[in-house]
Amino acid sequence: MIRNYISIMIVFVVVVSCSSRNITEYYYRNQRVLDSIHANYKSLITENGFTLFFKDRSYKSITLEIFTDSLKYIYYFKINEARLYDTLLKYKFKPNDFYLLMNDMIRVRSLWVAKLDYYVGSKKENLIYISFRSRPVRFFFSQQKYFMINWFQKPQYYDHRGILLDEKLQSAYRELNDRTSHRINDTVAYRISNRFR
Amino acid sequence: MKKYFTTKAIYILLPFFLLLLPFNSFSFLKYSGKDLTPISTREEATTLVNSINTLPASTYWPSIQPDLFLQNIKKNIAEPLSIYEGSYLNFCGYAALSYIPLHYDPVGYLKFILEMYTTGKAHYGKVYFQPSQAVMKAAGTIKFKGVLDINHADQMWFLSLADNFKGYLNLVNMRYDPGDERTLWAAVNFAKFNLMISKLFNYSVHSIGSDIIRPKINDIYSYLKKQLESGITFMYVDNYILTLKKHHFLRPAFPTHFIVLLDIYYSDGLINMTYWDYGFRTFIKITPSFLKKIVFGISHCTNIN
Repeated sequence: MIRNYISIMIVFVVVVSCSSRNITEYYYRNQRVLDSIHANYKSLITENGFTLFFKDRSYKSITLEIFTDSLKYIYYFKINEARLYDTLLKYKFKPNDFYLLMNDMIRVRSLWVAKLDYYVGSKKENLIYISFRSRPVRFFFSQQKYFMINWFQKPQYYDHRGILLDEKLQSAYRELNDRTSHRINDTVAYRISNRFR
Repeated sequence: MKKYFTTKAIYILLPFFLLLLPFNSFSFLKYSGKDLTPISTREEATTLVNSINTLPASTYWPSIQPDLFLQNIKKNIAEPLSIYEGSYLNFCGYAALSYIPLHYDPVGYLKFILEMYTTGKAHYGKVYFQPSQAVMKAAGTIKFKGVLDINHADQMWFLSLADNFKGYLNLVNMRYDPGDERTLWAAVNFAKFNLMISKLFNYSVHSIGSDIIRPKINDIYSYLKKQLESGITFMYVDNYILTLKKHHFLRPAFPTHFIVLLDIYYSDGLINMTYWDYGFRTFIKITPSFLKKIVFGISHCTNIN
């Protein structure tokens, strides 16, 4: 009896931990932290553009890409390294805001935050997005999927199923990095991809 | 349906590719001397392109917008490092080799691209281009790929190159259909990359490495440093490792990306490397062992014109 109970529990844990997240529900459940990541990142990139990536599952080390006028710099840091603080000062980032951003990302287990440029006709627009693993645990040979939450600068057009439409040709779906996006609210949408960036 | 058959074909043909791989992927083209004298200068190209105010619509490239086309070639001449392959597309090989004409013969590039636009066919080096109807219709229609959306001349250039040059990776999909720019139709293997440079620009290419086996060089840093002093150096790298995604433990290493090496030096026990990665110059500090891990091919090119 106990053995059966344990087996059922194991199956339950595996099924629950591997099931896809309901992203809209996830967004609203963690809205305060997620919107804080967005707002914080948006204010930080006014100095220099950058992307932040947690490169290990233990969230102890990061890859920081910093964009200047002439070069993109790629740095690898441990999150508690003094070098990181010095680098943030060198590029005129506010360290407190940056560490808050990192902590928020760790709290919601986000992998990556970046700005993405896209074009509506010939007009350049941009959005901010963060990536997560779609499943916290995956089976050995199953492909990892990632979901991304996009914050647009203005309300977007969606069809009746909530799929993001091309702003110019509203008969076509807009793809962002090869994927269609789904509505969370007018300015926030999500997409699912097999790459985190 | 086509994607389904393409996937099936890959599985069926893979063993044959692996057998043929040594003949396809290893590349040891001839090497002679050191010469990087430009054939034409950016100033000459700027004068030429600035003399064109408007272009009529091309009958051969129905989807290309003349104003975007002209704006694109002007930008390529003024800022040759701004050329961008498009996100999630297999155009990195074609974008990488564009480094040579845009830096060392911009007038040659301009004449070719304008002739292609006006007549639908043209010669470049030893190669005669006459793209298929499907490719001509597609240029100007690629969307949602970043700045490539508005770079109609680059769309024409990349699609024409992909349509003209075929390597073993392209055997499963030889004919262009819309969307094929992200499939094996556009893929570039190492030997094809070297062949394109040698045929298009009449450059001498000395290459080492392959599509699956890393080059046997003990001190890869010194090798790259020496190559850089005497020519243009392209690296064929595993970009997946370069972006340091440690979340996938079981992924086999293989090269996925071409980059142009611009500078390399030692500092604080680390290799400081600057490379061109389309749209951006990138600076990175890495260990020698990491460098060895990512590099699968090195091509060294010099002008023999």
